[in-house]
Parts: sequence; C-alpha cells; structure tokens
Amino acid sequence: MDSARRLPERRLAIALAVLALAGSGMAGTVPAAAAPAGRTAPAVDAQGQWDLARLLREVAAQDNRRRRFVERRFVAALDTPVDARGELRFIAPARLEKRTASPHAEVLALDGDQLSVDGPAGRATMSLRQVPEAAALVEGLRAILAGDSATLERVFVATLAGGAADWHLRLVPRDPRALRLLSEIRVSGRGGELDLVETDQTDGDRSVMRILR
Amino acid sequence: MTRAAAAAYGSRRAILAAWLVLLGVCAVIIAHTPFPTDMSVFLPQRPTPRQQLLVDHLAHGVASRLLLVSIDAVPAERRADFSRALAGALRRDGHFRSIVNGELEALRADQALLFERRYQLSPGVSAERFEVPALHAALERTVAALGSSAGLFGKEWLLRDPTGETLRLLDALRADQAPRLHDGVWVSADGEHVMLLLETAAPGTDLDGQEAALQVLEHGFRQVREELGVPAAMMRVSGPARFAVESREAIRGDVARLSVLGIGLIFGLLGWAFRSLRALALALVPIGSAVAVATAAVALGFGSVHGLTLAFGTTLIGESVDYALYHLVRMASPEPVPARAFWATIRLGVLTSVAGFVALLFSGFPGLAQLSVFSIAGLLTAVTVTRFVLPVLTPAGWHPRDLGPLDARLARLLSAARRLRRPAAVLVAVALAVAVSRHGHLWDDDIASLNPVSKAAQQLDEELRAALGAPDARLMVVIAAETQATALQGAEQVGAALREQVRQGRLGGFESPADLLPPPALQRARQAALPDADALRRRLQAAAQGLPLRLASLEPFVADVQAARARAPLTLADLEGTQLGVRVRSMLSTHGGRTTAVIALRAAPGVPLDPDALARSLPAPEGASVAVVDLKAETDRLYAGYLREAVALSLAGAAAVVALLALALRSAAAVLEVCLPLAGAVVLVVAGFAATGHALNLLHLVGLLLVVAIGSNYSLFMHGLRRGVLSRVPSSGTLASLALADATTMTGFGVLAFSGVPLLAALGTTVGAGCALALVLSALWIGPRAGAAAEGSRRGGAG
Repeated sequence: MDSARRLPERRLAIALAVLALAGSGMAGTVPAAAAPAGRTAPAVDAQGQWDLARLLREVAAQDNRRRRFVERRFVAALDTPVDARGELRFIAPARLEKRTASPHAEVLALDGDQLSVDGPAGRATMSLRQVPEAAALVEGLRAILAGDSATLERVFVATLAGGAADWHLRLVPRDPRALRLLSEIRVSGRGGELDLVETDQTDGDRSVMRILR
Repeated sequence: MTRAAAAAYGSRRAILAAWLVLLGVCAVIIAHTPFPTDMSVFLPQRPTPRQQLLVDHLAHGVASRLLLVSIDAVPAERRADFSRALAGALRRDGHFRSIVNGELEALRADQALLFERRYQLSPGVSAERFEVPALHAALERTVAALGSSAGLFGKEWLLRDPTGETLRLLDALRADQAPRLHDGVWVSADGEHVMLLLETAAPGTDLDGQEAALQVLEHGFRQVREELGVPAAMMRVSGPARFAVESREAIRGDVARLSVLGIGLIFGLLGWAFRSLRALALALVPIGSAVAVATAAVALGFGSVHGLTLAFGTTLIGESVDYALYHLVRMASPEPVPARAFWATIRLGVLTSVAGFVALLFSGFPGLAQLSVFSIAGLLTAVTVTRFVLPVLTPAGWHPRDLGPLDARLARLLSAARRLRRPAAVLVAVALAVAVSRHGHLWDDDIASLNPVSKAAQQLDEELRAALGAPDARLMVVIAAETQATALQGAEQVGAALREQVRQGRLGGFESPADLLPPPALQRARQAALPDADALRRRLQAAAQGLPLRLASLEPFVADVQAARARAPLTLADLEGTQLGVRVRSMLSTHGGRTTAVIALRAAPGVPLDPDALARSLPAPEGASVAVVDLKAETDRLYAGYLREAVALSLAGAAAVVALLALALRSAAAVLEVCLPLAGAVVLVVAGFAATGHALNLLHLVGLLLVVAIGSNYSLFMHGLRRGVLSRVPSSGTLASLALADATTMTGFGVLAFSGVPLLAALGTTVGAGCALALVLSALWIGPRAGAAAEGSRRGGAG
C-alpha cells in the first residue's frame, strides 16, 4: 500500500485512467479484410445513420490491437513542448497499456481495475476502487470498448459531430471532481479507427496524441 | 430482671451493636471500592526499573487499545465492499480513534501531513541538498517527470517538491510488512480474510469503554453482513481489549456462579445434617461477616479488590462456615466438649491457617498478597463472630439436632477403614516415588500457565498479528526519559548505532519512533539547512541552466521552503488522526511524568541476537536511560521470580505451621503425628498431578501451602480426639463436625476447580483434593482407636 502513496493517488489514477484508455482503448482497428462478413466497411449502416451507438459498435468490434503513437505534450512549466513516442496496446480481455519509448521510458497500464505507472514520475500501483471519480472515468471509457453508450453518457457529456468517414467525439466529464483536473477529451477518427486523441487539462496544459498505422 | 441478667443483657446489646457497626463500616468501604479485573494482578508489586518500563508500556501504551480483526467466509468479490462498509460504519461512530483497512481514504490525512511537513520529516534534508549541483540534478528529474504521461497530471506536486522529499519520506516510513491489498483493502497473505486494525478511543484501563467499542464493532459487523447479504461471514477479533473484557466476563461470571454454587452446596450439606433453617441462618452470620470484613480489608490495603480475589471468596465461605459448624455441633451435643478445650483447639487451628496465609502476605505477586489479606481477615472475623456474636443470636434454650448418630456412623466407617492404614501408607510411599522420579517435570516454568487468556485465543492473536504484519516485539530497546523530546533524541542516537549494526549484517532491522517523528532538535537542524527565499531563487536560477524549465513555475517550491523554515517542530499531538500517529503512539508512551520510547528489533536471518552484547554497543544518550529488553526472557524471569519467592514463602509458611504446632503440643512425637497426614496429602496431590500429566504452576504451589495450613485443623482435631483432649466421650459429635467442615472446605475450593480462569481452577483442584486427603489420612493414621470408635458407636446408637 505504500507504493500507492508515492504520488498524489487521486490525480494519478485519473491521469492513468484517461491516458491508458483514451489512447489504447480506442486505438486502431482490425483490418477490414479480417473483419467478419456482414461487417464490411466501417461506414454508414443500412439506415445510413451515424450516431454514438453506431460508433461504439464499430469500436467495440475490435479485438487485440497494437498501434504506435506520437504525442506532443504542452506543459506550462516547461519552455518547450515535449515530444513523445511509443506504443499503445490492448490485450484482451482487460489489459490496456501505454508504453512511452522516448524521451523517457514509461509504462502506464490498466489491468482489470489495477492501475500502474512506472516512469520518471515514479512507480505506483493502485486499485481504481480506491478512487471513485477515476473509477467513474474508467467505467465511462471502458463503456466505449463494450459499446455501452448508456454508461458512457452517464460519465461524460458526449457530443458527436461529422460522419462515419470523419467523426469528432467530444467528451466532457460530468463529475465536478474530475472536471477540476480534466476539462475535455476530443477524439476523432474514421469508422472504428481513431486518428487523434486530444486531452485538455483544466489548468491549460494539454496533449495531442496521433495514432499511427 | 436480676442484676446479673441485666448485665448479660447489656453486654449482649454491646456485642450486637459493635457487630452491626462493623458491618456498616465494611458496607461503606465496599461501596467505594473499585473491582478491577485487568492484568494488574499479574504485574509485579515492586518492579525492577526494567520491569517498570515494561509495565508502563504494556499498561499505558497504544498496544492496549489495538484490536485485530479478521473477517472470514466472505466471497472474493464482496471482500472489499465488506471492509469498506464496516470501516465506514465504525468511522461514523466515535468509539474508535483509528480504523485502518488499507483504504487510501484513511491515508488522506497522512498524505497531507507528510507533504506539508516534508522538510522537517524527510531524512534527505541537508544543506547540500539545496546547493546548486544537487538542485540541478533534482530539476533534471523534475523536467523528465513533467514531460511524462503521469507527470502531466502530477505536475503541481512535482513543482512544489522537486527534490522529491515526499517520496523519500514515504520510502523511509514504509512498514516492514504491510498486509497484502486486494481491491484496495487489506487481506491476509492467502487473500481469504479481510483484515482491519482498529484503535479504540477508550484507553486500555477503561474496560467499560473498550467493551462498548467491541459491541459497536459486533453490531456494525452484523449490520454490514445483513446489508451485503453474506450471512456466512464471520468475524474474529483479538487484542488486549478483547482479552481484558473477556476475562472480566469470565471472572464476573465465575464470582456469581461459583458463589451461588458454593453456598448452595454448603447449605445443602448443612441442611442435610441439621435439618433446620435456623441452623442455616446462624451459619450464615459468620460467613457474611467474614466476606464483608475480608473485602473491606483488601480494599483498605490495596485500594481496590481484584475480581479474582472476590472469586476466591467462595473458598472463604467454605472455611468460615467451619467454626459455625463446630459451634452448632457442640451446642447440639448432649455432652459438649468443655469450652476451654474446644476454643483452645479452634484457636490453634485458626492460628495455623493464618500462619500459612501470612507467608503469602509478603509475596511480590499482588494476586497472592490480596488473597492472603482476604483470607486472614476473613478467618479471624469468622472465628470472632462465631465466638461472640453467634451465642448472642442463638435463642435461649434452642438446640440444633444432635449429630451423635452421624458421629456413630462415621466412627463405624472409620473403624472399618482402619484396615486401610497400611495400604494408605504404601500408596503414599508409591506417590512419593512417582513425585521424586518426575521431579524434573513437576513444574511448569512458563508464565503462560498463569495467563487467563485461553490457548485458542492466544493462537488466534498470533495468527492475526502475523497477518497484519504487526512487529514481533520480542526484543526491543527501551529508552526512558523525562520528556518526549529527550526520549526521541535518545531513540535517534540509539537508532544511529543500530543502523550501523544493520549495515554490518548483525541486525536484521528495527523500527524506531524517531524515524517516524524526528526529535525536535533534528527537525530544527533540518529547518536550519533550508536556504532563505532569495538564496534559493539564485541557486535555482543557476541550477536550471540548460533546462527547459520556467523558473516562475518553481515559486510554489520557494514558498514552501520559506514556510518550512519558520514552522514549530512537529509533535505527537500534530499526528492526531493519522496512521502515522497510531504507529508512533504504539512506540512512545507517556505515563507518570516519564516518556518511554520503544524500538522493536528484528534479528538478521541466521544471526541470533545477543541482548547483552547489543546493549554494550549502544550509546548512553544524555538524560535518558537505555535498556535492551528481551520480552520473553523478562516475563520468564518475572515468573521465575514469583515461583522462587512462592517456594520460599510456602516453606516459611509450612515451617510457621509446624512451629505453632510444636508450641501448642509441646511434643515432637505429637507434632510428627499431626504433620504426617498433611505431608501424605501433599505428596498424593503432587503425584496425582504428575501422573495425570499436569505440570504444576505457582498457584498449585500456593494450594499445597493451603493444604498444610487448612488441613492442619483436621489433623489437630483428630489428634485431640485420640488423646482425649477434646472429649472423654467420643459421641460429642466432633467426628461429624470434622467431616462436615472438611466437606464444606472441599466444596468451597472444589467449585473453583470448575472456574474458567486457570488460576482459580489450579488452586481449587489442589486445595479441594488436598484437604479431603488430609482428613482421610488423619482419620486413618491418627484418628481415634478402634476400641474408642466402637464404644462411640454403641453410645451413639443408644443415644
């Protein structure tokens, strides 16, 4: 339990939840060729409707995935932005990882409800249940993987713009405690695939993560 | 009314008035007497300084408030919920000072405190740490952390503590073995049991408060079990509070149960013998007076009467009724024993009993000293009341039923049993051989044999302690000083020496309160090492050369360092409400103007700890005394001391009894005659325990002394009967009264054998069996001769 004390646990848990899931949870998709029959193009369905439920179904259809990312982090305390690169992994059923290779090695992982970090900011492991507001965020983001739009919308105010070929999802936390830290997450992509995850913190710091394929 | 009658009437009134006043005074004293049931009775009355340290720590430290809890048979997925719900319920209640179950919720106060006071508490704070080179390295790490994924969110914290003192602090504070976490709450190593550590608000000496806390815990547990729908869930609780409350229950239950049982059985016996309510009422007079005066006497002598002493009171009932019994039998007899001879024998009997108890008066074991005062006061009161008050209360012309027929039956029995004289002697010889052959294994020299806590409860305590990672506090360094600051200073100096031992591999580790709460001087030294705001800003500017860090963002750090310079040293009071506070309080206790700091030691694997060598290697801090204490060895020494003392006192008591007999009987042969049955009874009892595999403890030994002291009454009477001192006519009922007296004494002690408190049970078994054997052997070996017995039976039959 002492290792859990190593960082202000609440913030870290939220950070981990957001970063591990916002990135890897929705990162990439199986190639269309590998998709089962009847779920061909990640495009407009028979009714031609592109809505949150449809988007989530597309994302949820993915299995194990692994994608490289480049990320630019804007931190007020630093003169220059930080450019990071690394890999996002989702290992079914419940392990999500964000592995940063440079400028400093760091591993963020969510396994079940255990969150862990090992990098320049320290090393810690904690249970999401210890941090209810972070747990809510995780539940919300996990809902994306599960295609559960009801839970997603319980945790976030979710606004979807654009169409299947170029969608933009804006997620604003509903929990005021989470809002004190995180103002919004913007995700854009095509079909079941993500291109860009932008995370804005309430104090103005932000990160822009581009997912490569 | 004649003048003589008037004078007699006047003196009767005076006696009654004096008796009633005495009872009234006793009632007032008893009404103001506390009846503790705690462990105080086991603690030494005249402790050595080292024992005093132990006593202070055990009786007043936080250890006496801790409760260890294990919740069992909860399905894996409900364990965390159960722990959280129970902890939540207990936190809402005021009976607990701290509830620790691994939840971070409970650590919030600690985190805030550690962060705020990091520059006073962190062992890393030094002047070099705030020079440019060290600051540069710190800022490099900070930049890397700020740019990381996790740092993006922890940056405020990183910027306020770029030198990482909080991390270092948390590393230093990490408990050696914290329990495993499952879903964020503590579980046992196998993950099956939910573990909690509670500290009651009530101190260890407030048993009512602790009992209330235990009830709140039980109630909360049942409620949570119901709410979560896990009816199979079970709770196991251990800790000094639990033991204390339970032994109080056991002792209270015993006092009530055994008193009722003892009185019931004794009165059943008397009722059967006399068939008269009036006789019973009269017998009650010395009993009641004896118990009242005995209790008041202990209260006056010790300030309180321990529950165990009171439970022991049942034996006094059995003994004090003896004198009433002799009196009633004598009254009933058509040819009573002459008053002078009768009271002379009684007096000698009382004196020998008292002699045995007087020896115990000098015991350093408070339990025995109380017991001794209780019995002496009780016996003297019983005999005095029988002698002076009972005749006044007995209506003129009333005679109890003559026990002559019973006497005659006993005489016949005795006559028939005389054939067993030699077999009995052989049996005693065999028993002596058994006892001698096993003399190495007769005694149980483990203090655990006195522990009122059951073996099962002790095992549970060990299990829960291991699961909760509570340190094995067998070996410790104890530092005592006038003030908390001096004690901590001493602990700090000792800790430095111990660290060196650990470095050399001679010691596995240690836990010192000074590492958790540094002494004020050390805190001040750290504060003095902090640069002022301008100096720090200049150094930061130099240190940040070449780093992409905005200096303005480090202003919170500069402000924190500034604030830390002016803070008053952190004290134990500041730790209120934190887990850190619980840990420090468990190692630091203040009592009676002295503070005791305890450093628990852990041996290195395969390296046995030598307390004496360790003690020599430790410094002698100014104003503090340092002692290396081996708890097990110390308690063993304490018990060995009690045992040694008890042996000496018992021998002295037995010698006093023999001396009294010699003084009264004025014949070596007579003394030998009187003593032989007593020795035989002692040998038989010892051999009996040895043969049934029971090791004897201190209370058995005391019991043997009482066998001699009380049993001497019976052998004296038997001896008197045989010599014709007591009666020229055997049908005086003496034999019957002896048998009845022995039966009541045996009953009084015998019921103790059924006590749930091991101490009382040991005493009860020994004295109950021993007194019965003393009477039987007296009757066989030195009882009236066959011819006299036969004559007695004829007379009895005719009467």
